[in-house]
Amino acid sequence: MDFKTLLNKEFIIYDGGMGTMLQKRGLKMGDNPNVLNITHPQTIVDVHREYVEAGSDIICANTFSANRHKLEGTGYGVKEIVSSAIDCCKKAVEGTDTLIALDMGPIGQLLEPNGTLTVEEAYDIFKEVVTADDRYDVIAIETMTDLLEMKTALLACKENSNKPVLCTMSFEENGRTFQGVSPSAMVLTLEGLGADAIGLNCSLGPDEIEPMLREICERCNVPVIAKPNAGLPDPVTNTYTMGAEEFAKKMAELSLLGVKILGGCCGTTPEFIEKLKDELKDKTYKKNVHPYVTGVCSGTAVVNVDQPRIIGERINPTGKKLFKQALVNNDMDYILSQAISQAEDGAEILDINVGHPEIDEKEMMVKVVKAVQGVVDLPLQLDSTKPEVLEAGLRVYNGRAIVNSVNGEEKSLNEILPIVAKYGASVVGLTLDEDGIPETTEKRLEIAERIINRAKSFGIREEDIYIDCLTLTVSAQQSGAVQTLQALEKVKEKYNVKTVLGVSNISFGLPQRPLVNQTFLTMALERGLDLPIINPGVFGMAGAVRSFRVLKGYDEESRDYIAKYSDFVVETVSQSHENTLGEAVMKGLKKECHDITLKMLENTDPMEIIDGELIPALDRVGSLFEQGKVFLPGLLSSATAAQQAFEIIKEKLAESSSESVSKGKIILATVKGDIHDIGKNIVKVLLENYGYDVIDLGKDVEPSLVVETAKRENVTLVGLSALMTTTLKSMEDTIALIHQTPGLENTQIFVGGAVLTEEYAMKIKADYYCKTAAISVETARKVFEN
Amino acid sequence: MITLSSLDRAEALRYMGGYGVNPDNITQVLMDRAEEEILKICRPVYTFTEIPKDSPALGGEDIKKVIEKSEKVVLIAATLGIYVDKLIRKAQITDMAQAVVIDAMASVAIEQFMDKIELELSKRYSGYYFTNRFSPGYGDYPLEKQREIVRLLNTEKKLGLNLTESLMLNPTKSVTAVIGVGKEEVEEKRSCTSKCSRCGNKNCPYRRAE
Repeated sequence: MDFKTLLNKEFIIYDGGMGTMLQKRGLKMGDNPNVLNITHPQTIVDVHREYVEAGSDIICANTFSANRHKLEGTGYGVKEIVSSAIDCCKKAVEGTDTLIALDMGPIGQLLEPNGTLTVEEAYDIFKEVVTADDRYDVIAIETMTDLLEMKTALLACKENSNKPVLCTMSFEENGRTFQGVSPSAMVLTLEGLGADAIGLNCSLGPDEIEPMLREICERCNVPVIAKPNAGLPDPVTNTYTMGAEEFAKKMAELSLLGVKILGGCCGTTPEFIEKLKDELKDKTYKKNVHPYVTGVCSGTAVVNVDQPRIIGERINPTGKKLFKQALVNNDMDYILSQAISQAEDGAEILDINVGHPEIDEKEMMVKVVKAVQGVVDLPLQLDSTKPEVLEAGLRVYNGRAIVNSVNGEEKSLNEILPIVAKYGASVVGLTLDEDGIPETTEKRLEIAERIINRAKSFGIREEDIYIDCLTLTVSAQQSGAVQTLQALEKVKEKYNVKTVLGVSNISFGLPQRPLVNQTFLTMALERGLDLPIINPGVFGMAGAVRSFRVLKGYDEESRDYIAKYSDFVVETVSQSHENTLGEAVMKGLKKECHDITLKMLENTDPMEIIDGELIPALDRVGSLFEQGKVFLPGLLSSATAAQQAFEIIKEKLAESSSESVSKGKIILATVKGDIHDIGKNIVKVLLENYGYDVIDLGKDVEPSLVVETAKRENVTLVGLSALMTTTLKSMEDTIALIHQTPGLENTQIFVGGAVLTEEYAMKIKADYYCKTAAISVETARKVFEN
Repeated sequence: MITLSSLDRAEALRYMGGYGVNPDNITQVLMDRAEEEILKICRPVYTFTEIPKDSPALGGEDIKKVIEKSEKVVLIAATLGIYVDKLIRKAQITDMAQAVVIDAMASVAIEQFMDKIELELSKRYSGYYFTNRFSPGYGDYPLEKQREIVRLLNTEKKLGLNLTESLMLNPTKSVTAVIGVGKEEVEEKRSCTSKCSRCGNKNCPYRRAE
């Protein structure tokens, strides 16, 4: 028997709880119950056997916690635990055709950005379990709450084994997992990656899972799994409330939603399974049939492409000097602020393009995807022509992404499409090929067809192909606009695809570009454009899409439109100001600082603005802070307001010359093992305000990275932060490594953090102890003035 | 279900270094916004269990004194969930001042949540007196005990609460604590000494004035 044959049965019966059964037999669960495979194999065999006899078609090996991380300290390795678990299963299924599942649960450490575990490490951990033994029939990945961890586990299975993979996640009563994953996001992502069955297990009972199960069944095209607990547990006694009879009846009822594989989790026993099998006897499996809606998602947000959706274009260095600079300097905050502001302006998907000749695009793509997903919920469109960049981005991406793009060239089709298929992404198809962008509508249609057919041959659905008919600059080629629109309309007519279009190019070289852009966008929407790629910060562009959705009836009762615009004030650069720049800084008025600086720059030297207005104002706030008249938030507000002024000045300098306002380079890092970086970031804001160039290495930073960066950038001042007593050791290690490194003899170190004292700072050989952020500024002054 | 409806400003100010004073205007506005956002997105959940007085989840001399007269010991874990961390991360990019305020207000929120849990438990243990809450890291209660607590309460599965290798609770706005439950009235709890005055960490930046 194999899983495929098993699918011919009306229903597939999974097994029930293991823990409950072991406790009943008087076994102490200990640190890791998977150790019992070796210490008490007969008991494990007995429990499995009971499930086999109760009618389970698949039993799960006792390997839920058999990963490297969870076995730490038990004295056992992954291989011996997994093998002994499968030995137990083999004995239990003897003489039957029951299948054995290798069971994998969460690693027990949160992945980045919430925790410190990287996707790459997680992959290795799962791979080790998958390859520990091969005498199993299927793999069950269970009880996951983080979609990225689930995805990584699934990839580790698919790349290292050919066995079917059954994926289940655990949802709470609010319909989400603890990490915020919805059933739709789970289905979209896992189906694309080739999961063989998808569903939910644990956390709730049959009564509570119904809404989540319904959502899964409405979207899922592979068999659906339901494996809930025996009701809800009592927190003190830890016993479950639901009886076997009641459980089985409710589960049989739930099967009507379109569930194929049924079983139980915590609190269920062979009796539950037996009764469940009984109840299902006279039921028929209802296969889910529903229209396919193409959609993309992050771990926490799903965007269905069932109406025009805005793709934000701003994360792209093309034609943006500051963005290029940010890429070269590794300035993640600049890139992230672009992501956040686009999200606030109403982007629904963000395009991510980090191609620049001076950097390693692949490395940067991985870094940016991870960082952006740490601060915004929006799904991403990974934008590159290089297959290795796209694949690297897709591996660490949490959710289902869009790949931008493939085109009609043979090389592109052969390299990009297999990656799209493997990671289950949607793909943008550009209607150009070796001969460039065709002028006529017909030629573009031809290329579209080539892309569509090729994509389908790789198993990519037509609905998941988003054709880009390409915008040409109307001032250079006036008939081009009409050709593009015609092609767009024809593509929609002829194929079941979606369309995407970068809009802003149309007006290049013309005055008052927004007018042309907005008009062209509206025309394109009417012809069937689904995914405009625009700058959502431009009032008329996002506004055109929102109005279109009202006029076409997508935005029910104009709710979205009203929510966005009822209190909306169009921001303008005001010409008269009540405050001087210094006063605006003191009061923390960001917008005003921005506007005043812009005006001052018309006739004032940038350095004069900095030294004459900004620094004195910051000093004044600083001294008020020391007197206890202004609080930390007030101090930081002033700093952030001043930052607005600095940004404009920097922009101005970047345009005109290579003149730099930097007073010195400082590295800041939160040490290895520490994930609290708010203190470090406070210091960063203040130092930047006083004109220092801060190289921010982030949190959980390896000592070696600090040293490498200091050497490469020739940095003489390093600031280290640690919040916990447990991470002070990392601080000490980092300092020691800096001191030992030849070439860094002149590098000084200042340290800070809640648990540090002056005495301890000196003991671990720091040069300065900075109790507050303001003292770090003093320290920097001291160091750089000498 | 326990929900939070408002957050204690004075307590948040203490975390920001201003105990017992009036906030400046900017701070006031930022606190309003922080409260609104935190209450909107936090998903407070908790779990508890009874443990024996010699449980391996306990450690150090101080905790022994706390639960000396207790009949039972209740172990609690609670978290505001992962969304608050994301909110703080995001604010650190857009507005550090707001980030600091959200961070402080969220610390207040988890403490207030613990207070409400305690209230809820007092219904379950009616007729009993509770000691003050005591957490790993207080006095000589070793931080390493977090490992045992997290395992015992199965917080990973029940709350989505994990422990990092450096013993930090993750999501960061989370608390684990022990409460002694007994028939005898608890002296300390009635007296007006603050929690801080009993703590050994004299250098703590958040220490209340005595």
